[in-house]
Amino acid sequence: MSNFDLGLLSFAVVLALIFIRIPIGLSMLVVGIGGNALVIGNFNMIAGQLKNLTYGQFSSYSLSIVPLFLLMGQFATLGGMSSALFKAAESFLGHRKGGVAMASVGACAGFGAICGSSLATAATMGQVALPELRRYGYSGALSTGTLAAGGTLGILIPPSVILVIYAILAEQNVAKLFVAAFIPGILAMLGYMMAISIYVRLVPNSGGVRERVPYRERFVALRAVWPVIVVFLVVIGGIYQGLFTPTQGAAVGAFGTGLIAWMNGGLTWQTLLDAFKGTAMTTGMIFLIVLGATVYNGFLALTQVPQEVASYVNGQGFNPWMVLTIVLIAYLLFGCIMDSLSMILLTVPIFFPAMIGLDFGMSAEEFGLWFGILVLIVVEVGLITPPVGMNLFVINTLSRDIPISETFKGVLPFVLTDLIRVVILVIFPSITLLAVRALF
Amino acid sequence: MIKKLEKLMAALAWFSAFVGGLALVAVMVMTTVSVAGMSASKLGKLLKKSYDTVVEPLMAVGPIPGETEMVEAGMAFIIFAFLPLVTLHKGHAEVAILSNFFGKAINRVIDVISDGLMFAVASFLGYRHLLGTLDKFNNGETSWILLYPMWWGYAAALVGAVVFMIVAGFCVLRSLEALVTGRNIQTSGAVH
Repeated sequence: MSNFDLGLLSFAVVLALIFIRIPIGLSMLVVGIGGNALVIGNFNMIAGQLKNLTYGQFSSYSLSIVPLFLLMGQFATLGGMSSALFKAAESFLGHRKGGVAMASVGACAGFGAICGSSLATAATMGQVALPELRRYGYSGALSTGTLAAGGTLGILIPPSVILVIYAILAEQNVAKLFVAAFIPGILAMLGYMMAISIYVRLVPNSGGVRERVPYRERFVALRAVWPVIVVFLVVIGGIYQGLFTPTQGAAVGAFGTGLIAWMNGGLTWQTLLDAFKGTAMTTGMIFLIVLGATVYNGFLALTQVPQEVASYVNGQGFNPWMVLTIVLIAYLLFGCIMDSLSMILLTVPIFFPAMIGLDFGMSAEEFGLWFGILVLIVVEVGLITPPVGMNLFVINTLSRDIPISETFKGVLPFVLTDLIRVVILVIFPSITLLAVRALF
Repeated sequence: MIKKLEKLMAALAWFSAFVGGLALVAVMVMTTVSVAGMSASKLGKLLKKSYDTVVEPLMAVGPIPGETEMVEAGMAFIIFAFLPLVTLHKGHAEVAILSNFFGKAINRVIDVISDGLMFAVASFLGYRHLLGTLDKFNNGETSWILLYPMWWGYAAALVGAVVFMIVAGFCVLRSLEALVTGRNIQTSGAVH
């Protein structure tokens, strides 16, 4: 068997292991180590590399953003910021038809500005908003669907852990990716609000209204969210201005949200321990996958598979837009069964070199940003699609009285707006690139 | 027996994650202080250049030297320290879509295979990392700015690597016991 065949076969083996429920990072590690030994003929090369590779990956300065952003997200859930955001959004939108649900989406977007994780956003905002939605007579399907979808804004609106990983894999500038994600993130929020507005008109009695809040009270509620705005502006603004590195920004952000949580009385010894536990679990999970992907991609590079795939795709004269569509559909389908981070780590090293050679009428750098945002959106759709949409399960555990089948139904309009948005962003790349072109 | 061991392992993994958490907070505070020092110093230079005003305290501060190096060494320690907890509580990302149809017995076999592989990989990684540590100890390599010996960072990370190996080994025992007795493994579940 040639090395190239071995490389292709290894992909099937990794997938087979993953599908019999071997942890994804472990599957990649095992196949990567074994495959390397098969190509070289012995374990010497990989054994030599692993003297420093694990330490090198875990001590990577660019990856050190990840635990810091995760800690920031944990602190953000403690700070009482979620209810302040919800109250502010509700005071402006609550009296409209479907307004309390729209407010939940708006609050999720606000929370996403200080939290880079979808699950944490869904869980935190769910605790605040679900009881309110039910109080104002919103149906179980709409309430849970809204919050599951709203949670995905956590990762679309910067800071975003997944964008950090993509930036490293595709050698893109994190600051530019954060800026590029901003407009699509706002579009996502508006799309979800429109979906709610249409839903409550099509399905009678699915949502109630609350009394109008006078403007004076609205601004009082808005004032309470200033810490969120300050943290967001300092972190993203500082990274964008080049005042500090993304890692420093993440540290400052974590410090700031920790301080807010402590001032609001949310940060106690007990909650700090919980925050450590949450950060440790997610960090450990992510870095095992990162290490697995590094070892596996090192092996794949030996087999020349990424290079061969790239030259094949570029040599066939395929229509670039066709290739992009197929790749995005593949991500959508895989997203239904696999978590977003694993999918990105497993596929970007193969897809990206092939895609970047195709002519989409933009520079390689712009393509890198645009493709990253598109991939981010399609993999996030996987979080709210059955059978393993993690956000759906998170919301389900918060609302035991609503059957998960209701949640599946309630989230469909939001999935539809996601798909429409992807099509729009594919057809008009300038929407994504507008902010980057204007600011850099 | 397994239950007693399980308590011990839970305490060990939790302690390791706790120390890692403290280290993460330390890295966070240190970086924030360094950023504050850097910003103050930039402000001081700006005031001097634009308004010809010298604010003594602002001229005296700056970023913490070697901040990046400390972040890097700290992160390696932190992440190694976090691995035992996520492994013990089965928090690693996996795809359970097909295995849901397999029935309990086959799933217990999968658990044994999965934990066995994890133990093998954890041991291999830990052993290679130990050799890497010895290399750095013997060659006397130091960091660029602070000139601390590289083996310090490696040795600190080794602690977590050893705990990871021990916990992964226990997980094999636990899933073997579950396979034999039919007991369900209790974990606190993933919190990501």
